[in-house]
Amino acid sequence: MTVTGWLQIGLLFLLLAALTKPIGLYLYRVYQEPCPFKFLLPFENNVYKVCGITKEAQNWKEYFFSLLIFNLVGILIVFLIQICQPLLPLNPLNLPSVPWDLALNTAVSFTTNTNWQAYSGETTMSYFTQMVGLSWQNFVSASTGMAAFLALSRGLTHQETSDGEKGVGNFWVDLIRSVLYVFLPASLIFSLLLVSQGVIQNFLPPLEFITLEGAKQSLAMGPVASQEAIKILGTNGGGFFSANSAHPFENPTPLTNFLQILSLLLVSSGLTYTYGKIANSQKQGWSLFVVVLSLSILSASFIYYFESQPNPLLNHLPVNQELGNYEGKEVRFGISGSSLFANSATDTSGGPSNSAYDSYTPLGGMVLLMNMQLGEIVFGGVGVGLFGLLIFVIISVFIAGLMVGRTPEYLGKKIEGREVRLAILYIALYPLLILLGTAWSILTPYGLSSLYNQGPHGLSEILYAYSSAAQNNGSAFAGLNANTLWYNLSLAFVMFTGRFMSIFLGLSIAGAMVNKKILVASAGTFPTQGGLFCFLLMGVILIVGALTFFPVLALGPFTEYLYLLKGKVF
Amino acid sequence: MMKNILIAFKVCMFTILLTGILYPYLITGFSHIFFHKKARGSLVIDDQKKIIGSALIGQGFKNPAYFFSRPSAAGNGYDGMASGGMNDGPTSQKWVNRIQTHLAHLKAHNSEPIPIDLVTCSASGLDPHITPQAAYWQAPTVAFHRDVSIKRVVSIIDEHIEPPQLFILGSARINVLHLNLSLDQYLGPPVSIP
Repeated sequence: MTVTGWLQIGLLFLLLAALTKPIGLYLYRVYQEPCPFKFLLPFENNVYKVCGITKEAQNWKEYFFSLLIFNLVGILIVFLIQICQPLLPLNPLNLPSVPWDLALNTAVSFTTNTNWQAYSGETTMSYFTQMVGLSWQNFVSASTGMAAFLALSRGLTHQETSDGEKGVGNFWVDLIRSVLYVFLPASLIFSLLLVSQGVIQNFLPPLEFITLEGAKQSLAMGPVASQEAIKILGTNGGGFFSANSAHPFENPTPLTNFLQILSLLLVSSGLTYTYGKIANSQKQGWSLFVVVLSLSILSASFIYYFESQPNPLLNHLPVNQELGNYEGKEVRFGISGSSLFANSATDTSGGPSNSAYDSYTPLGGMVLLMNMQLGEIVFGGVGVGLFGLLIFVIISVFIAGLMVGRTPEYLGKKIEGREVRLAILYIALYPLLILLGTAWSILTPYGLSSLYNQGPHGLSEILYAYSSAAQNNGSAFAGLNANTLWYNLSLAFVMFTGRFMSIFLGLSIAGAMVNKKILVASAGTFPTQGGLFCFLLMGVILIVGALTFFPVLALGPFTEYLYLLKGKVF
Repeated sequence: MMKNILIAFKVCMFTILLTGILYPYLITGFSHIFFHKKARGSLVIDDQKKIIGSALIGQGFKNPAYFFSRPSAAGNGYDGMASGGMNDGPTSQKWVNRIQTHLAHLKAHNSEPIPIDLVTCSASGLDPHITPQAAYWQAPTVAFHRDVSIKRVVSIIDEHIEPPQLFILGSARINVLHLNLSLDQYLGPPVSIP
């Protein structure tokens, strides 16, 4: 560990805290009705007219239905683009049609904002597929996440009205505004910043030349920067190349690395402030921000510490391990830049990688696993991160209510049996998907045959795959060969269920809450802001995460750590 | 139902046009106006106007008169079409064996312990850099094969150290291709290995 390393970590969180308010304020204005940004308004209205969208509010069922239909059509289109790849333009390598199971996995993966990649970008996807299929879904899947959050926040905060059922907003409007006002302008700026540092952006075929020493080298080319920008900003994480953000053409300098880490967190962090505005109490927003910020600083520090440790297995060899664990890490980022990136990638559901997570130390890798298993709510994916955190808030308020023996309230609305049941289902969904998937895979030959590393690390590889898929993260312990029929189909199922079942449950809570009366807070109301609540929420997050996954983490990474201390190899 | 499906299709077409086609072409246009060289891969050209590499992508070096790069898991080594890491876990037998084999094949003129980055694979397999420690460690070997003083080689290394960007981002590093090009420039091309 070095002073510069810690300074980089400190700078990141300081900048993040400073930018949360301006970003949050901007996001709040974007979704205000009427939208205060007039310059795009005529264009926006024409889009609605052409697409046949009426801007009226939908109830939660209509909202969810629109969201689901849009995403199903998305899956179909991305699937067909991959299958028809040889017939489409911009395919200089004449890449063949993608096999159906891989194409289905990739289509579901990009539509659910997971961006799990069972393929190597360089030799599987044409420029057309990457641009029109994958980049496009990066935009709209991120926007879908924003929409889900907006609907839930409206459900929790809407005032009761006399004209009966109140809607949770209009999905199409939320979606299109997210693309037009948030992700597209941000990506325009960010991708040019990336190109200025050396990220490539062209449509040339791969380049072949003779190196200084006379060997032949080929370099993959392509429109990388435009995809890279939205990959990060939309917490998507699907790299243009196989090596993802470790590839020098995707992430050439320490500065681009730092900007990528920051941009991963930016929108999710800003939304906490937006939520404060929506809930009409900035303290609510800041309390949530403080909780996730503290958890993120904690995990980043742990990863940095563990990755700086030497590996005892090399102690008897003439190797200088002062710098820490360099296996699978790039020199330009160093241990600090790699750890910080890995932390942000697993805290948010982004899941890009600038280092090989499979080669992390046992405990460093365990923190990455835990980051995902907490529910992708520590910042989390754009929109859906805060969406999930609000479910945890409901659980916390419920527990506090049990302790004082009083019907819990949140923002003046009563939390009753139905909402709590839905919230518990939401929380139980992920462990169910993750643990069942992992258990099935380690009990079958077709699950085990994909392993690259053996011993407890093998269990971690499979556990990581299902955690990443269920939580729509998309990063991997990439030793696992995931391009098999079993993993392609089972992970596609897990990604789909993890995404849309959770949104369904969350939106039903929104639907149940939207028409409730707002009560005046009394002395008996448990405050959902301030230090006490932050502690409670943090406790609930950690206990739910730790208790559910403690046994399997003890068998995987922790056992591996103990074996490593004893010097045992597999 | 049908109405919603129709809207979904129309919105898909609109967003594909905007974000899948218009946006990447716009970025390509802008990049070629403002950052022509970088958008095409920051290529390094020699005196005869021939491409010899990219400043951002590592190359393998076998000649002992050159500094060597980190081991690479990309294809057969530094294959720009097959980026990726080795993915060995921390308790992997294969990993320990790999490092032992690597050490056994190393013909270095230095008895100090070798810096960790020189025996481990990067995540991309295309890492263009090594740490300054790794370059200093190689200095005696390169000096021997170039028949110059170690001091001369160290002074060339010193010219090439890039400090952390903006003082605190990333870590200090040396671009191996640039370093070896400087060796050739100052000391002439190396004798080819027999």
